[in-house]
Amino acid sequence: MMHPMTAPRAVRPPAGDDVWDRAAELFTAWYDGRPTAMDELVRTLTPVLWQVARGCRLPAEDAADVVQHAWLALVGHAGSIQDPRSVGAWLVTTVRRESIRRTAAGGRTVGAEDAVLDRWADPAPPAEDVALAGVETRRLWQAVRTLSARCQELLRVVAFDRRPDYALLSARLGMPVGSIGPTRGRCLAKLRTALGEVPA
Amino acid sequence: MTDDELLDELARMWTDADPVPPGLVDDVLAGLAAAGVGDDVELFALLDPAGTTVAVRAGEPAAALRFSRYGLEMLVRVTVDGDRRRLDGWLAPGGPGTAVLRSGAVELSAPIEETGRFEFPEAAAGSAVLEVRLPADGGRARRVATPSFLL
Repeated sequence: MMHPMTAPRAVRPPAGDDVWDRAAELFTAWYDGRPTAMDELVRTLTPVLWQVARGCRLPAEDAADVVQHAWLALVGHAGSIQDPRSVGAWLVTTVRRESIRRTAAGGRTVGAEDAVLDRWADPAPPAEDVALAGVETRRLWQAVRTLSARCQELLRVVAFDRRPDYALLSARLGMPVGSIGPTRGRCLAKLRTALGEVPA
Repeated sequence: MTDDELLDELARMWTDADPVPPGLVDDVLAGLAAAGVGDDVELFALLDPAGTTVAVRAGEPAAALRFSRYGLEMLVRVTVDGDRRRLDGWLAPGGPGTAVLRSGAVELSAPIEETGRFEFPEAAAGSAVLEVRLPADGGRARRVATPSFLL
């Protein structure tokens, strides 16, 4: 059973735009009988899938589990993936769906207010424990931490997946589909303001 | 800075701040190897006592695990004896069939009786995958494997 696909090019890992092309090549090579191509595919996309799961505020242990399941599911459904270019989007969607299902099943209120979101176990390590390279990255980190939990979550999702499934996000963040775009814009604007206030 | 550039910066920041755990890629590769990449293997889901799908967690071995997959249900009980593990399993509907337990490079197999019973009296502790192989019986043959769990 295939999930609806997000256009693969909308999913942008930080490592560069060619990752999804590479993923498609590797998937094709593996499907055509080169087993080692799967290893490379796993190494290429696992870091991005990890971010997707953590972006859904999943604890580290659950995030690792969801990522593992997605790979097993891919292998189990390989025959149903018609277009190798959709393999990255298929994995991202599978990880996000399962992550959201688990956070909902964990008794957390889907569609919670910011105050409730803020009380959730924060999956990101505290700022002082993070050895971020570069002054700019540390400034950005500090600025992000001033945003509401909802903004942080939305921006983290969008940072790794520029055109995410809005229907899924809508349920997750408790906002109508139509307000996700404007909220994203407001969150980015708040981030720019906060960046201006963090000393360089 | 455009929105896309700012989001690229954010992606880099989160990658630095919350990097993928060092062992995860290897765990995925081990899981795929254990599940028999390239074969038509179905995957069991782990259920909690109320029958809801749950995550397989790292940590202490569970005393009993319940798995399901379309039309199949499997209960696995693990008894700890020092660094050895005894594994008792019940598959419904029953056999005949074969249960295969893989942990690392070691592969053990045991028959599944008509009652659905199977056992591995001497398994090693550690991460393992359990697979049941059912012959074609009017339908098609099936291979169904669990996610890796701790014995």
